[in-house]
Amino acid sequence: MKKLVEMLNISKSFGDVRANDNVNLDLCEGEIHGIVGGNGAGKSTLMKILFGLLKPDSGKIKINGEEKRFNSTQDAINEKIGMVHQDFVLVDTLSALDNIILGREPVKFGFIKREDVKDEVIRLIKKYGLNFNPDDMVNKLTLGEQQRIELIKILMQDAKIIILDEPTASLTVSEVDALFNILKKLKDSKKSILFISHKLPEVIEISDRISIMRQGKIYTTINKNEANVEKLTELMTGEELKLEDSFYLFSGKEPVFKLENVKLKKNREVYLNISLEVKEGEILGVVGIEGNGQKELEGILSGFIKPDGGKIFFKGQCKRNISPEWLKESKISIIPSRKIEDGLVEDFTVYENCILGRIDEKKFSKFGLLQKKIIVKEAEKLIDEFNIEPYNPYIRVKYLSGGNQQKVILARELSKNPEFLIACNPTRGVDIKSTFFIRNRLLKLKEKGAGILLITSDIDEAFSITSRIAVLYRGRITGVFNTRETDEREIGFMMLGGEKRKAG
Amino acid sequence: MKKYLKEILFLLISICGAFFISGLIILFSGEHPSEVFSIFIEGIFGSTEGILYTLFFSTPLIFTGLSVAFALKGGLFNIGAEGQLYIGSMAAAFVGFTLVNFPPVVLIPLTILVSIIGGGLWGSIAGFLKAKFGSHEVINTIMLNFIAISLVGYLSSGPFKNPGDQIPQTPLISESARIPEIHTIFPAFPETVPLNISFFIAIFSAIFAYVLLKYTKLGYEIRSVGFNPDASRLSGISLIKINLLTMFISGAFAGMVSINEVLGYRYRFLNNFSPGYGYFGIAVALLGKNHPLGVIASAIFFGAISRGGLLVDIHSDRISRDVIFVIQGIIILFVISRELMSVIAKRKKYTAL
Ligand SMILES: Nc1ncnc2c1ncn2[C@@H]1O[C@H](COP(=O)(O)OP(=O)(O)O)[C@@H](O)[C@H]1O
Ligand SMILES: [Mg+2]
Repeated sequence: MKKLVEMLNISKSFGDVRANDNVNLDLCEGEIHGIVGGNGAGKSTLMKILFGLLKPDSGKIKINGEEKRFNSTQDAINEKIGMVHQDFVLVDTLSALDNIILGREPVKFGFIKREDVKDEVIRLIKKYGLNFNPDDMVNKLTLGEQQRIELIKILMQDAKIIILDEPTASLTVSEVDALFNILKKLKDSKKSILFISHKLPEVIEISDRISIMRQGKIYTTINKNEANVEKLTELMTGEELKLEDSFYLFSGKEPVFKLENVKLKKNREVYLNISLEVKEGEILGVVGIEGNGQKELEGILSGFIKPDGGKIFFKGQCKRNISPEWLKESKISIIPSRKIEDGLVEDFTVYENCILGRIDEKKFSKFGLLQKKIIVKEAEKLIDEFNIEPYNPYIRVKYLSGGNQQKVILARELSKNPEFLIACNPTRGVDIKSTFFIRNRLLKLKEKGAGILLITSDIDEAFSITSRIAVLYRGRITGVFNTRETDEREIGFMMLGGEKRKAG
Repeated sequence: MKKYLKEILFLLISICGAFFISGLIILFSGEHPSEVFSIFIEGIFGSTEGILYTLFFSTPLIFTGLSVAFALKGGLFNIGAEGQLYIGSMAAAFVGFTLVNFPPVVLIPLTILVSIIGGGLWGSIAGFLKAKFGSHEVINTIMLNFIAISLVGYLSSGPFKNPGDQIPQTPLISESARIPEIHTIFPAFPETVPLNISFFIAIFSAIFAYVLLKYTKLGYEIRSVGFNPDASRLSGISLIKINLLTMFISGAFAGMVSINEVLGYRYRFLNNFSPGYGYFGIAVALLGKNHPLGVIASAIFFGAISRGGLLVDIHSDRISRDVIFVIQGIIILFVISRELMSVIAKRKKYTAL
């Protein structure tokens, strides 16, 4: 096939970080080329270079065999390149159509004819099955639909080369399906697509070829038929990663933690009403599309929000609401979803963060004086056990990478020997190696008999480590399933408000 | 090491800049900048007297600088040192002129204690309001300044006024509540300088603050809340307790200004005695990088400017007091400009969340 894009020996450094190191990448006409790699592998950097957002330190870009220099995104757009960013922004309070008009370049002499644009938009929606109403307000649309607005903007610029940077990162299963149908149609009309993700099964499903990036280098490029998840994982991380085996084991003993009709009201209307129980030795996953009450549930569980009714049981003891002090006394650990804001003191060193919430333990202070030696020793133990990098208890936590920051929280919370752990998106934004590590530690804790409540927006995560999955929809638990008796489709269906079909 | 060199270089450049602009102002006032500057510098370093005066002027600033710096470590912006120092001073004066029959060993510690508690309690009102109702401590402390100033104004011109005096001031405190001046300990020092042992108490307080913050559990919790109240709260630290304690200690440092002003210098409460020590404390803390030991150095720097300014005032007819204030203001602005910027940037980030 003809090579439409060639990126040759591209290098780009940020200070000491070699984000791209002699990278070669090509894209053929009508091809979907997947790019996978852990956080910080350099995928976004490479794409930003192709889109003219960043200038490479060295290397060439050829379009149709002709060398090009991109000084701005406009140069890239002129070469029919379009990009949907990892975190695109739309104006919430405008309609989809207005957002599309906003994104267009000004037309010389005169006004954009709204109706013309609308006709064009409707034509594109029909052609590629984009399936949304251009007159809807953006804030009424799902994330998947908003993404399609971005796509239309690109298509209206007549892009032939489409870059999608982690488009599936926060989509539900069915939205991913919808996106893939669109991508197939785009491909049929001879568009070429660069598809970035770190979710391996979907990359394998949609791509014709797959390039694996690791530490700024393209490690290898393989064809779809050579690819499987294990192989890609190994190529991506340089080692074999797997989860501990026993994950579906389900103890079925006493509940350690229970919520009974825990409510939140707004204007006298109940918008959250949750009942669930977590048994000893199990991980209960709570999944749902963001915005269905996860934040509120986490707020109640961490004691920041007082519920307007209902009961909370911990080991038989009944409470009306939770306070952080009570969590501490009861040895309930929590991994908050906002790790920097709620889980760490960024300006503290690693060793100081390791004793956050444990400072009252006798060994850490005598007559009100901190026992620094003992604290540092404890921190070193945790750094060792959890492979926190760099091995330095004196470094400030803000200088650690996201994965290592998350490990500091995990290490600290597990070191409290909790009987119950609340984990909110514990692996979000964390690279695949640390993800495996964190999930394995959760499994280990469960094995020791602790109950774990895992609130996650990552269905894969729920399926890989939970014993049961509860679906959160519009502030209610709409179904609870044994993990091995359900599948992603059923859960995805429930997450969108579907009715439960069978007993769980 | 490189970092410190950069700091010092920056400081030198800003001092030069400040002197340049001040020079222009002096020129416009019709004096020779070089002459005025030499009076200024000589006034500070030219004699033992000058140096001791500098330390005398710096003493209240160490206390208020510590007050502001300590609160900032706990994440609170204490604009209220002015009010806290007045309350502490009035409390100390009251005990000092009331319990006249107590011996010094009891009365001196007692008056100091009262000034600590007075300033501390006044400060903790703002801490309480912040923790309980979330009302911003900047507003609270400013309001409490007005209240404190009116209150001590009323007391010193009404119930506690020294009968027969023309100005609002209390009676003198008992001899046994007074702390010794420095020349009674070091006879070689000139008797004219009112420097007293409160300077050493101030140094000791700074060391105390440093140790408290760095080596104690309470200090850990205060810094933790200062850096990140949400994470601290979630970890089980009581924000109410820590905010209260932070503001108590902060207010206590401000209250201790009375050790210099009441117990060591005026021997009474004089209404409006403070030329704004509490507000200067903000600049002192900023220049001292919020570090208790940095506060000492920075307070001495500010003390030196006051001393130099005073001498220029005495020796020059053309340069009025106001011009001196302007010059002092310019010097202060120059040296703290960078710290000011970073504080503003931080607060912006904080409120944007
Ligand atoms: N603007 C930037 N400034 C400094 N470092 C950056 C910048 N952008 C990316 N990096 C660094 O370059 C590396 C690659 O980042 P990125 O391309 O975003 O990775 P990916 O998209 O694969 O997760 C990371 O180590 C990241 O920290
Ligand atoms: Mg990226």
